[in-house]
Amino acid sequence: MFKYFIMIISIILVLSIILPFLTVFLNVDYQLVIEIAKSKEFIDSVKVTFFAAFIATLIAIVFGTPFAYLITRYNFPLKSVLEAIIDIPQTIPHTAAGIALLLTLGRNSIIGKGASIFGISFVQTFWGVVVAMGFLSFSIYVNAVKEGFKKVDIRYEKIARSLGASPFKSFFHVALPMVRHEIITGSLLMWARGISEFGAVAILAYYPMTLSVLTYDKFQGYGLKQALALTALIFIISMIIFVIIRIIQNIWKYTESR
Amino acid sequence: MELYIKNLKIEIDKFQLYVNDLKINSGEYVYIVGPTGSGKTLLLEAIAGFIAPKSGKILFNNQDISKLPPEKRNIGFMYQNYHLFPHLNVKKNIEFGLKMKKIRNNTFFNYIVERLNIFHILNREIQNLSGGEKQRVALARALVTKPKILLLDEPLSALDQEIKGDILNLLHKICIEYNLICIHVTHDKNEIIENSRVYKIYNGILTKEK
Repeated sequence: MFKYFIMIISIILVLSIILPFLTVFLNVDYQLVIEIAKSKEFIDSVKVTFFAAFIATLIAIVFGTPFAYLITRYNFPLKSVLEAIIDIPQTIPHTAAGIALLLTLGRNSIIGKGASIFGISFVQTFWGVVVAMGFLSFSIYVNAVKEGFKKVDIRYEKIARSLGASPFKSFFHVALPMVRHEIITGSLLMWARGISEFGAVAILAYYPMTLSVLTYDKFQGYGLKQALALTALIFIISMIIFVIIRIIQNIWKYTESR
Repeated sequence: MELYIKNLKIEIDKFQLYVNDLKINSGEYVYIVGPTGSGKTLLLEAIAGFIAPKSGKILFNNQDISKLPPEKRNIGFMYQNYHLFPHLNVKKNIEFGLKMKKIRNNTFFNYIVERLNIFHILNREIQNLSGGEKQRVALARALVTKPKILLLDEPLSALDQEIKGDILNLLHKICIEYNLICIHVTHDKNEIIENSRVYKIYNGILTKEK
């Protein structure tokens, strides 16, 4: 009886996720999907979205990995505050985050003025997209890698030190390779989350248009039919990405269980 | 060569460990016994430099090594579960210390591998080794950089009863053969070979048992 009860609950949950997908694919004009898929506007927006999310993820790897290690391995005052700060962007509305970023990085801000000396601007530019995506998805990467470091017994690193490794070498040769799966999974999840970012991106850098901004733009400018075709394309891309992530994870599980 | 620990005080949270006077010479195999949680591992980790003592001195050949980082102490360490690096195969695990210390000595590497009878498993993954094989690989990894001190933290606990005796004999032979200062900590008094020097840790204080 209990089994059937939780099965029904699970089916309702799965249906609630599948239903919007099905509705889109049942109502979309497939001719228009093909047309949009071939358009320069769509291809450019795919490039901007994927590449900006990729750059944001690379930046997260460089800064987030040592941060995750610091949080896991060392005790210091206000550590829990530092951990909470990283998670803040997850808890605030993304449009609010966009406004905060606009004020912090805008042309009249100290950072904005400083960056302009090097010819970099964050408002309505590719770098703005990168920052907005990174700001809101950074914690996904950090938390994934943090969990990885937590699973690695510190004694591996102690042994490495006794064998002549400096703290740097012990980190690069022992700790880091042992969390490689978490680094890759965290990167993929952050990248995928970055791709879907809308609120902050739309406020800080409406142009160049990402896929989410383009969908909104089509909906506002051309109505539901155009937006629906674009939505169908985005669903297909998202599904491909997550299938790839699952395949990679399953390959790891298989190779590790051997 | 001599290891001399003098008035060593270690404090971790509310736990305190005190070693008044401990001298061990090269080629000596010393046991430290005590119940779980008595601070045996803590003492080894302090000698290896993994944790800093609150006060006191650790002298090796009359030189104070208590402020040196672990990588500068030339001490081999083996934990109960060996902690072989799972992302490296057997050969790369053993070579790890050589790589870190930039030592290019294939002769000694080959000698140790032959001596511990692990030549045939060099290309195996760590996950595919038996308990006894892991023990030998961990020992080879610790010895290949020619340490002067070998610290063994419950080295036999994870092994089957049948091979414990063989491995213990091997450890004693290796200690004499390489003129090492060996400290073996254990909670199991059955591991002690007759006529060995034995210390015990009780209530955070190290005292000589026999």
